[in-house]
Amino acid sequence: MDQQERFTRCWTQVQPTVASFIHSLISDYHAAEDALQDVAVVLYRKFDTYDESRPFVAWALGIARYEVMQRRRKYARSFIAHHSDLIESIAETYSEMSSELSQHRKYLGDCMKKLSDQQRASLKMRYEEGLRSEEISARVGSSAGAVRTMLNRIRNTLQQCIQHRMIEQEGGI
Amino acid sequence: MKPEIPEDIILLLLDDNLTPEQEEHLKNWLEDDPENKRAFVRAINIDYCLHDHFKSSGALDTMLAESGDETEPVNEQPNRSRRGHKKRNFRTRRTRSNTIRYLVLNLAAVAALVIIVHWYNVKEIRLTRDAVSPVVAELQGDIMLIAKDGERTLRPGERIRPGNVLTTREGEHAVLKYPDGTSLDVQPSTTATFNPGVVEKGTGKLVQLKTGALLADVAPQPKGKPFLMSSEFAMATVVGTRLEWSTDEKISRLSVTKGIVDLRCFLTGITLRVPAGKYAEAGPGITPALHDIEGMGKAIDVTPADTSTDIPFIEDNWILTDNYSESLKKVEKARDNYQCTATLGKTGLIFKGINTEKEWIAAEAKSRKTWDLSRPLRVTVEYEEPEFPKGRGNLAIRLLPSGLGNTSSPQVAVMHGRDLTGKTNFTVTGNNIQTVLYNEIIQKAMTPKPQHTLVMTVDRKKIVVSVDDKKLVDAVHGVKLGPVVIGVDAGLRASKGELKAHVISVKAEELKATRLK
Repeated sequence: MDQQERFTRCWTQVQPTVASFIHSLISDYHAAEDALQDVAVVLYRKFDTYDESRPFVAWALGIARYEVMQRRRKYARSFIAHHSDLIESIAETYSEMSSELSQHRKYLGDCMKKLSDQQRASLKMRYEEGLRSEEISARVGSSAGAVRTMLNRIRNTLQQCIQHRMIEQEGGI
Repeated sequence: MKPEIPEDIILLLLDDNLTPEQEEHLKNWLEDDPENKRAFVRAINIDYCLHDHFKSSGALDTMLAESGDETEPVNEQPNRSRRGHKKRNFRTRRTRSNTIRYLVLNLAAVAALVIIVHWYNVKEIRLTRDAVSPVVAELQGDIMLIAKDGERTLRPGERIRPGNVLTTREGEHAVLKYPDGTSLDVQPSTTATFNPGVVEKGTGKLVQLKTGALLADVAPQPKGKPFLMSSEFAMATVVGTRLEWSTDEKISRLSVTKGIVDLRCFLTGITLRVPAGKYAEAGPGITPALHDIEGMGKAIDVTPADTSTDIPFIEDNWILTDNYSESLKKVEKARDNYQCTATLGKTGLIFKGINTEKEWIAAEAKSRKTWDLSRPLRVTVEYEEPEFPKGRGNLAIRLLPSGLGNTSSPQVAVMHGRDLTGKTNFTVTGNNIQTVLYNEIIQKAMTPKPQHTLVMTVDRKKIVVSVDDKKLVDAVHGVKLGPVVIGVDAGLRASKGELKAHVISVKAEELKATRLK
C-alpha cells in the first residue's frame, strides 16, 4: 500500500471527528468546510512525518488545531479559537471520544424519525436552509431565545436517543 | 461551585452571538470539569452531524429533481451571505449549493485532493464552489457512480459532482458535457474521478484517470485555467483541443488530434508539448518522446465493392446472447418484467423485450464472420421500424473488434432509439483505442418509416454512415487495424410495453481502397 492509499485509509476514519472539531472552533459551517479542506491538504503533505505508533486521530487533531490557530484571522470566529489551552484540551477530548463520535452519525437518521413533524421542520430551517435562530424566530413568530431552547431540546432528545441506541446495539460506548 | 451552562449557549456560540460575559461563562464551564468538555463535544458533534444529515437529504433531493429535468442548466452563481459565505437561495435552488458542499467533503474528493497535492506540490489548494460539473449527456450500460452516499447506477441528465467516481465496464460508455461545451467520452473499462470543484489556484476542471480511456473534445478554456487530465504517471494540460487520454497500470498515453497539449511526465519531470497528429507516453522505463499517430489525416476514398457477402440468419453465422445478467441481479425480484431476447427467424433477427426497471437490458446477436479493416468495410442493414414502448430503447448496429460486450476498440455504433422524451432519433458514435482520432456523436431526428436501410462504411481512417440514403456521418478518423465483428443488439430501460425489432438483412462488403493525396 503506497502512502497515498495509507493516508486515504487513515483519513477516512478520522475525517468526521476532525470536521466536528473544526466545527467547534469555526462556527460558520461553510467556513469550517473550507478549513477542513486546507487541513486535509496539510495532513497529506506532512503525512510522511506521521509516527504510525501513535493514533492517527490525535496527530490529525493536533495539526488541525495548529492550522486553525495559524489561520484564525481567516477562519476563527469562535472565541475558543483564541484560547490555545482550551483548544488543546478540546482536541484531546475529541481524540478520546473519537470512537463514540463516529457512532453519532450512524444512529442519527433513525433517531430523527422519532421527532415530530414540527421538530423536523425546525431542524430543516436550521440545518438545510441555514437560518439562524433569529431568522427562524421571525418565520415562526416566536422569540430567538425560544427557538434556541427548542433546538437545544431537540438536540438533547437526539443525543439521548443516540446514546440509547449505542447501548442497545453495541453494548455501550 | 460549578458554573452552569445555559441550555442555549451552544446555539449562541454557533450563531456567533455570545456576549463577552457568556464567552467567559462558557470558558469557565469548559475548564471546570472534563465531563463538561465531553458534553460540549457531544453537542457540537450532534450539530455537525445534523448539518451533514441535511446536506445528504438535500443532495438526494437535487439528484432526484435533476433526473427529471435533463435539460436544466447546471451552472449557477452563488449568493453571498453577510458572513461572506454562500447563503442558500431558499426559494429556488438551495439544495444545489448544499449538494456541492456535501459532495466536496466526501472521501473521494479528499483523496483526489491529496493526489493533486502530490503531483503538483502546490502550496495551496482550495475548493472553488462555483466550479462547473459535467452532466451526463449520453450513457450506455449500467455505469456505476460512486459518491459519498454510496454506489448506484448513473442516470441520464445527472450532474457529476466533485469527487464522484465513474466506473464503466466492458460495453459501457458515457458522454459528459460541461457547460462550456467541453465533451468527455468515458470509454469502456474506465475508472475516473471527477474533481471540478477541487482546483489549484489558477486551474480549472480536473479529471483523474485511474484506468481506461477518455476521449475529450475540450472547448477553449479560460486563460490560466486549463482542463487538467491526470493519471498515475502524467498530467495533460489542455486549453482547448481534441484528444484521447488513456492509462493502465504501466503506461499512460496522450494522443492529440487537434490543438496542442502539454504533457508533464511525473517520473522524469519532463514536459512535452504534444501537437496534433502526435502521441506521447509516460510510465516507468519510458523515455518521453513524440510519435506520429498512424494514418492521421490521410483519408481513404472507397470505390465500388469487389466482394459482397450476405450474412444469412442461421445459427452458424450468428451468436445470440443476452448481456443483462449483471443487471438482472440487481432487480431479481422483478424478473417477470425484465427480459430481452434475440431469435433467428426465417425473416431475420427478431428482438423482443420488456423491462419496467431502470436497469438497461439488451439482447445481442453477433456475426461469427470477422472482417479486417485493412480493407474498407461496408455494412448494409435493412430493418423494420422498431416498436419502442414508453421508456428508453434502442436498436443498435455496431462494428466491434471482438464481438459485443467488448467495445474497447474500434467501435462504430448506429442506434435507432427512443428516449424518455418520446423522441425517435438516430445516434451515431465511433471511437477506438490507442490511436484515437475520431470520436463523434451525432444525433439526429428520425422520421418513422415502415423500413429503413442503414449503410455504414468504415476503414482505418474514415467513416461514412447514411440512413435511408441520407448521409449522417462523413468524417476522417482512425481505427485500429484488426478483425472486426458485426453486431446487432436491442436494449430497453424503464419501458412500459414490449420492444419489437426486426432486422431483415445484414450484408457486408470489402471495398477497394484508394489513398487520397
